[in-house]
Amino acid sequence: MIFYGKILFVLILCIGLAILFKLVKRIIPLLLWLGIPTFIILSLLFGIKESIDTTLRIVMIAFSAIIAFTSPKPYHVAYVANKLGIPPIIGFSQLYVLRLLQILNDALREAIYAAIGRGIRSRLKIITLLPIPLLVHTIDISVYLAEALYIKYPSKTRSWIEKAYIGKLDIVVFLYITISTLAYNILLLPF
Amino acid sequence: MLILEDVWYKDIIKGITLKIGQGITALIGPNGAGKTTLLKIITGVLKPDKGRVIRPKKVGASWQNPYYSFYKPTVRSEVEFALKLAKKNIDVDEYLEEIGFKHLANQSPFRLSMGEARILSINLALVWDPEILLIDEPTSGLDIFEKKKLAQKLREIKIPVIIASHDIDFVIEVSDKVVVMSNGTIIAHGNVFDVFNDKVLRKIGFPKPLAIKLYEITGIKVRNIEELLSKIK
Repeated sequence: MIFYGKILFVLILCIGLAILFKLVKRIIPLLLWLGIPTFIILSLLFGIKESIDTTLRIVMIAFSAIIAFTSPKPYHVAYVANKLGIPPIIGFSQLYVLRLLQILNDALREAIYAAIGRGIRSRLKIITLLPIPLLVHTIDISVYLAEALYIKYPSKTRSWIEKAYIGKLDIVVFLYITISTLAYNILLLPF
Repeated sequence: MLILEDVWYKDIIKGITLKIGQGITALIGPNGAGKTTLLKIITGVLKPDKGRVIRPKKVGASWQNPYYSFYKPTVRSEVEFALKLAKKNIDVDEYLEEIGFKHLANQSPFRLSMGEARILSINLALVWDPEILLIDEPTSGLDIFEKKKLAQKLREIKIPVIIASHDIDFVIEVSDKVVVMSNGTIIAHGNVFDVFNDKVLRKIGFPKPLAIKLYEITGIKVRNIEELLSKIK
């Protein structure tokens, strides 16, 4: 079967987003322009089955890239949330949450697996212990990031030597991501 | 004894059948071969889509980043906590002495070097008396001295140990059996010197390990150059 599950899922998602953001008229000619010549060239080279598969993948990449660049920016979402009465600190923390979710999710899983490897089998105990290695990991990562930024953009105003300041937003972001990913991962535990 | 029967997991593990007994078994292969995923399936944190895993009740594990398994401010309190969790009435200082961490007792576990952290995490995984121990990428971030310490530690462990690594020389030095993985399948398994032939090495794209080169030149089966020198003497 040519249609893989993931491609089909992305296709449905992209079509849904394109309709939602009223981008269908702009996208379809571009996709036809990209898809048809690609299919013709590939089918001459590799045969029908492979060319449909590869064309679909290329079209999907273009489709999702177009939607990402033309749809509302993440801070638009924060402004909308603000208009709806959600405090700005929560609205804007969404941006960070969306960007950091994957990284923290991976770290959280590693930490859960480490706890299981040490013989900790109680979900409650895992939940209470996890914030410690995660917080240390987050600080480590932020130091690496600060060092990388300092090397790339050294200046007097942007320096990792300055005293670290953890503000309300940092705490909200940390708690928000931790709670949301923790709930999801704890549910997936096999015991 | 650990038995895997026709285990499948997404596109990563493709029908693996394996029996692992006493001693150190190494899973070796390039990145993306499925070593870590197989370890996760053995631990029970991932459920295979198909197949059967017969594992002991208590499976201990030390993952790639050892710092994730620390929760306390000092090495002493960390060990104390582990002993308390395992319900063991052992003196903390005695245990620290036994595992060679007495001099680091008051240091933060998060400030240990990668090698020290790795050995401590292995010791913590052993505290609750697991019946099998899994170690993922044991040599990542370790210098040559730390690798030697780790090799010594691994040889002291009495239960079956499975390590997943792409450090071929380390694997030859410590393991009794090797399982070579590529693209989610096992392409060779058995004794170190039988497994690493040209065909297998070409398939996984690894260079010829030092021990095999020494064997080809001298005809003596040794795990490292020190062993060869001592045999020649």
